[in-house]
Amino acid sequence: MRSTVMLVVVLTLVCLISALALALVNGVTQDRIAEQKRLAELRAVSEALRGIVCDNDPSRDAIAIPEWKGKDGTSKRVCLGRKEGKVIGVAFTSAGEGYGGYITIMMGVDLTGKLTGIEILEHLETPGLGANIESAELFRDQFKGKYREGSPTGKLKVVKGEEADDNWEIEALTGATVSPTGVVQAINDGLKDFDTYKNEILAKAEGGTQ
Amino acid sequence: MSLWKEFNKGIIKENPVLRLVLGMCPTLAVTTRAINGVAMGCAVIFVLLGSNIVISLIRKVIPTKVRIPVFIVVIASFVTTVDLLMAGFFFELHKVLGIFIPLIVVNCIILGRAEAFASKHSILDSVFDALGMGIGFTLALTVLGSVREILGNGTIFGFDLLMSVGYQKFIIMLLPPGGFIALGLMMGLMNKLTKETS
Repeated sequence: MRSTVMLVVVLTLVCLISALALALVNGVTQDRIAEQKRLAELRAVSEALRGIVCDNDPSRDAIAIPEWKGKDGTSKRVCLGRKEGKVIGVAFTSAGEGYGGYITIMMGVDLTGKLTGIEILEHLETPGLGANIESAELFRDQFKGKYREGSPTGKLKVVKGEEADDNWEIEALTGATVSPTGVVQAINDGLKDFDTYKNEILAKAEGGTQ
Repeated sequence: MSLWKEFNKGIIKENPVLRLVLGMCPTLAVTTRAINGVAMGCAVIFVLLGSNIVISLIRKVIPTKVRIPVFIVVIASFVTTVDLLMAGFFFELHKVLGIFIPLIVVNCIILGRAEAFASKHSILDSVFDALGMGIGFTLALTVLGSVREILGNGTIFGFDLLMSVGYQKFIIMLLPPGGFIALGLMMGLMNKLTKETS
């Protein structure tokens, strides 16, 4: 009997002490972690909107569109890039299927539907091959200024082994086609959704300035 | 003298990766870059040191029947601490190592040292045991990560080593098969070297 009580007492004490210690560590680190996450988002948004010059901080000037659901079922958060109060571009996340799972990107679009830039947020692509979508700057930089008008399919398209000279063409990476296709799929889906919700975004955004 | 022995055994004679073949999951998964090996190793050293000290400290009051749950609670607390600290102070590295930090909880090295060593030895012995095992693990992961990064990417710790001389990347070294190949060759080399010295 005595030993059974001891089991309970010791285990309870150990759990209690470790819970206290963890609460302490969490208290020390939670502000820093939140700040790091905000900085990461700020970097991504400014990368996505680098084709336009805003005079606000788009990562703090954001609206939620409840009807617009992402692939994970959560409502989209749309970051607004403004100049003199008027919205000139928006940044939002989108996802496409890569080789190792979903590739999540932050994409920036101006009001005509022209891409202002993209940033890769998360991916599980093969190191040294598909993962170069994140590290190869030449690949990421080519998205700025691309748009769909004139494309035979009405979408951006990945090309291999040739120059991406049309405004809807994206050059694949050496040795990797699936991952760039995933990125482009994410962009095409995002552009389509942007068409659908554009008016709503703008209506909400104007309301926000007053 | 015996302290030195406790420290030393983890580095070569009982190296957790190359000799005991423990903790293979993070060993193979994160070692695509040398820096990942160092970071993973440091996280393991911290957890191992913390759990060995605490478990050695309370070894006399833990009833035998609940020792494993107690070990796991102690280990999980240290792992969560590392996870939060890394997320706060080394955000990029934390993103790369991802799920493998929380998975240190189930790393056999940590529980193995708690059960086989710290629960039976004094604090000082346990500290040296943890340091030796942790450093042995870190060295193995760093060497493995360096080999894979040099061959697969032509760089070491992100610095250009072979790329400027027109090196053709040996990409399979960065993929899972390359991890097994490099680890197997390292174990073989280790066996040969230790055999010759003895």
